[in-house]
Amino acid sequence: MWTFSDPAYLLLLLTIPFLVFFRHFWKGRGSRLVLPLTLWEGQRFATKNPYLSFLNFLSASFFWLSLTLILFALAGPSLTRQKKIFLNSGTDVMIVLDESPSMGARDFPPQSRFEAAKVVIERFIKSLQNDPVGLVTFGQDAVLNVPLTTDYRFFQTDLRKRKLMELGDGTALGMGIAVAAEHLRTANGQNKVMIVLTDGDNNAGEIQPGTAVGLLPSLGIHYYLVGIGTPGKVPLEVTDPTSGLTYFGTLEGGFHENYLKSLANPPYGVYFSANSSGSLDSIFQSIDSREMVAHRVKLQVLNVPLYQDFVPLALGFLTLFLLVRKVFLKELL
Amino acid sequence: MEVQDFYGKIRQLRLSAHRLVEGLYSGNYRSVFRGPGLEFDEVREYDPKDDARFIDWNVSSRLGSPYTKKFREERELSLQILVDVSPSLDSGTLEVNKREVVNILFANLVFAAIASEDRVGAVFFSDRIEQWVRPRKGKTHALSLIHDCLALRPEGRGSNLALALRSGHEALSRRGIVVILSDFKSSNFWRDLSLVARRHDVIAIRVHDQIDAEFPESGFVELVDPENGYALSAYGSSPQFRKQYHDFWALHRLHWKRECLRRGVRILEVGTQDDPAAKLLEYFNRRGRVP
Repeated sequence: MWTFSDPAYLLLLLTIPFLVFFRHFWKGRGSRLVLPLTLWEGQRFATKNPYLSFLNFLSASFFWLSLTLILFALAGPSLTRQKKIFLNSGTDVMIVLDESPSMGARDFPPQSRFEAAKVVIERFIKSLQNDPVGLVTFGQDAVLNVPLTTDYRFFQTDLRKRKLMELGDGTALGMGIAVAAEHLRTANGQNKVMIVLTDGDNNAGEIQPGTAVGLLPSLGIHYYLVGIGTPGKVPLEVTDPTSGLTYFGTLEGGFHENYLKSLANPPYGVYFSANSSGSLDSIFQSIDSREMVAHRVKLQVLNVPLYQDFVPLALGFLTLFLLVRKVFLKELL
Repeated sequence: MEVQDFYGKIRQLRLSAHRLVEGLYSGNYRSVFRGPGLEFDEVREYDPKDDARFIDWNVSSRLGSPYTKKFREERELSLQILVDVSPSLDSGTLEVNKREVVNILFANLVFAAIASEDRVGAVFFSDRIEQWVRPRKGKTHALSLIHDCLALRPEGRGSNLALALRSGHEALSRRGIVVILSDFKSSNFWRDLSLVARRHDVIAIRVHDQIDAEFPESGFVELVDPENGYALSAYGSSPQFRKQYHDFWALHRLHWKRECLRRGVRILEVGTQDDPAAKLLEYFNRRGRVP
């Protein structure tokens, strides 16, 4: 936002039209050479030089522009910005996303489970402020994609790059939880939350989900298990990123709700079932309201003075004016 | 200007005029300004009081008694000087501007006329008649005329030569001489000049400065006309601009010359770089040889 420390000087700008008038249009203006140019009530000597007129106009504009800029600089322009300073650290949120082929099931037409989860995560991220967020994905193995960060844009671009079956054909749910727990353990937020989005299978990895989940209460981590999917036959469409081939098929029994329920451990762990994208949204909203701590914020007002930019600019225009007038046009008076 | 100044100036002008009057002693002024002269009127019987030189011997011998020639008295010659006092004369590039040249020419003419016992009057004009002085004889009159010329503070800002010509024309009841002292930066006066030239002897003296012909090779400057405030941006380093300027005034001069000669008006050009008295003398001497 623009402000002026001495706005009264801006009133001087009002004199510029008068000065322009007295310098360029007034009949009795000075700095002119008196020379007979006309026959009385007869012919007058006239000549047109568009190049000259243009240079004349240009240089005069430079001069007045320079004067205007100097008056602006005199008024003390500054740019005022408000900066939010968070006085407490927020909630650490680690999102664990399933990348197994069964997540390609189209439970949320026209989206698959995986795509629906990604969309909802993105929307969730947008509501965060000063809450570090991280991303762990798992397939055959589990990987930390984004360490806890408040750089939401980076998180978003990374999330968009994630593809099904990137980490192989398998579901290492236990490994995913364990990797996320490991990174949350060393985090120093007030509150630590893990959100696991999966369809509830575990067929790979060295750590059982039960074991991993069992560790979380002792680490002070609240976890939310979000079961994505519906029971029954679901059409499936998966593109293998290594071969580029797309597989079509029907998935049956690819949603292990009961198993996920068994992993829940209130009040540390809660299970949610998401069988539509609307319910997925409401789940995230409820997590948000449960876990997010109030931010204590201080507003800092930053005043950046800008006259240093105006003065060289004004001097530059003044130099241009003198250059055109005295060097190019060789002005006499 | 102080009165003392005036007398100094007038003395100077008289000195310069003296040269002219001396130079014209042989009668060149008279022959240039052809007055009617002595005219034979009639022959009558000689009276002892008459000058014996004028006895007409042919008639005397034919009639047997002395007869003398009677001459009609020579008509006095009137000189009317039209002096341009418009602001366009104030400019000049040399230390002497056009106005001063006009003053010197004026004084010279006045003194020359007085020296040959002629009557002299003046019309000072700008866009109006600033002052008008009836033609008269005598040294006092001459000095007062010159004083008027130097002391005049013109109010008008123009050069209405046409009006001046009409006034001069009306002021001269008989055939006389009209001298125009001007830079001729005027227009619409040719008709009036024709009228005046038909009846009187007219000499047009054009006073000029070198800047009236050539724009100096300089830079950018804004020009303003002294008479009507017309402004113009001049680009003195552009050859094109200087050529246009030169052409405009060269054409004006040619036109002036041709139109004057067409009307039988004799012309003289005096620049600010010239010695006005010398110019006048040379002109009269030259004109004197050609009847």
